[in-house]
Amino acid sequence: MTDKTQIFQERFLNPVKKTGMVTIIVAMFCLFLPGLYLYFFHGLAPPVGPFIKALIAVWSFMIVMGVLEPIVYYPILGFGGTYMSFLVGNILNLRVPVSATAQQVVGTEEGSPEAEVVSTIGIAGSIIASELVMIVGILALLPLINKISAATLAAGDPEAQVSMGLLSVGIALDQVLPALFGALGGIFLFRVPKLGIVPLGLGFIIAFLKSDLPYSVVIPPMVILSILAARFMYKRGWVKGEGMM
Amino acid sequence: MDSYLDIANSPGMWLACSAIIIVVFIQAVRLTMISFRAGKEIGMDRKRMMSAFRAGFTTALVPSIAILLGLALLIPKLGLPFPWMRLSVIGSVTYELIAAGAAANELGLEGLTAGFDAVAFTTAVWVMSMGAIAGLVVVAFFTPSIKKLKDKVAGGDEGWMKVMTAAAFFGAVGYMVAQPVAKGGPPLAALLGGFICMALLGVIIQVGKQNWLKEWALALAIIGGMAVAGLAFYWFGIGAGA
Repeated sequence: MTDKTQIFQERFLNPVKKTGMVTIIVAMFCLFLPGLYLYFFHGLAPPVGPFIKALIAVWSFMIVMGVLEPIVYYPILGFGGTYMSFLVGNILNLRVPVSATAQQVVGTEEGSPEAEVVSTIGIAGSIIASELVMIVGILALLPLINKISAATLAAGDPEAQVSMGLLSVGIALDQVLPALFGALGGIFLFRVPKLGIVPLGLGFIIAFLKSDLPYSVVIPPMVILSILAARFMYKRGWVKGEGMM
Repeated sequence: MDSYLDIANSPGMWLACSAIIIVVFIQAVRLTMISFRAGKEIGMDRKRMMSAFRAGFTTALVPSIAILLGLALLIPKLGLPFPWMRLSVIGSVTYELIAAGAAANELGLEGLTAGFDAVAFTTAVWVMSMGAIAGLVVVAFFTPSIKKLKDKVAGGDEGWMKVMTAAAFFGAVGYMVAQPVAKGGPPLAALLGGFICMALLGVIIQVGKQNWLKEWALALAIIGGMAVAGLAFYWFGIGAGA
């Protein structure tokens, strides 16, 4: 048994760690290529002030989630699965069920070396499937992109004489964010109504006092208050971790 | 037509966005090879490992098409290559939209609306890219010691960690959900539309036991919300002259 553990350490854990780390570091560099391309080839750069403020707004919740999610999902995703899943994303809706399915199909014991191997292979298979589907989808959309751009611009141009139908499409396209927030509001209320009380209540109070505040001012304190309220409810047993994510 | 969308869809942008997808493929293939080799050495049957790969591959196909639907939502304002990259890597439609919205918001725009231009696009690209880096740093450097990390963070209480993750996210979007209600007009129509569609889908999923719908619900509800805003304008003139 110790022999098997040692083989597993040397032939699985060590090389997975090396590949995982190197690929993610390279990927982190690649993340900035589109931004660098815009700067070096088109002279486009974000204005520093708004950029930093937007980043503060996003980081105020993404850092909390970025630290906690790998810890929470690790037991399901496993070692190799963690490296892959957090690079590729869609963890809850895709990688977690995939890992569970693969382990179930093969019939491995939870937490065993076999389960690690199976989870890694299953998640790798799911990633290859996802990327292929995306590439096929992109190729299908490619011939339409000029039409989509032209329609978006025409619908958004107040000077253009466009039809009522196209104007409606323009209005619809502009409302992607409120539509998202409506949908998220729905998820709140049905899945975890208690946790939603404080952030939603506060959100409504602030929005009716002032509806055009910059996110960088509103979001960080809201995140903190929401976490404090959740802590209060968790300690009293009003909310539980199950069914949360 | 000259616009920032020409840049967003330019060959150079395609190239810049493809690099990371190649890294994703290399990672997946290498880890698969390592797993097969190690699995064989600890006495696992090749057939069982193949069935794990097949299970992963097939389970992912339909949910990935759902991701494609989310991708379509980003294309009008962000072009094709960048949303493709974002949703192939790290991304989720929710995060990407919120990050792009935060960029637009700090530039004084009303979200991803007609005023979205080259500068807004560039800012969104940078915010979306940098915003989600924390998770990658944690995974790149702390995965081997994640069990130790668990005890240090949140006292190792997994239930609390789940609650806290959800609370952080809800705190972030609380104001964003309320904003359209205070503003009224098309944003309110879209918000109500999205909310009602999600509620209906939730009922269908739970009562009708249509679990496959889960992956599609968010994108469908967003499209529903947008459609309601468009129709509210078409039929009732809500948003005219705005």
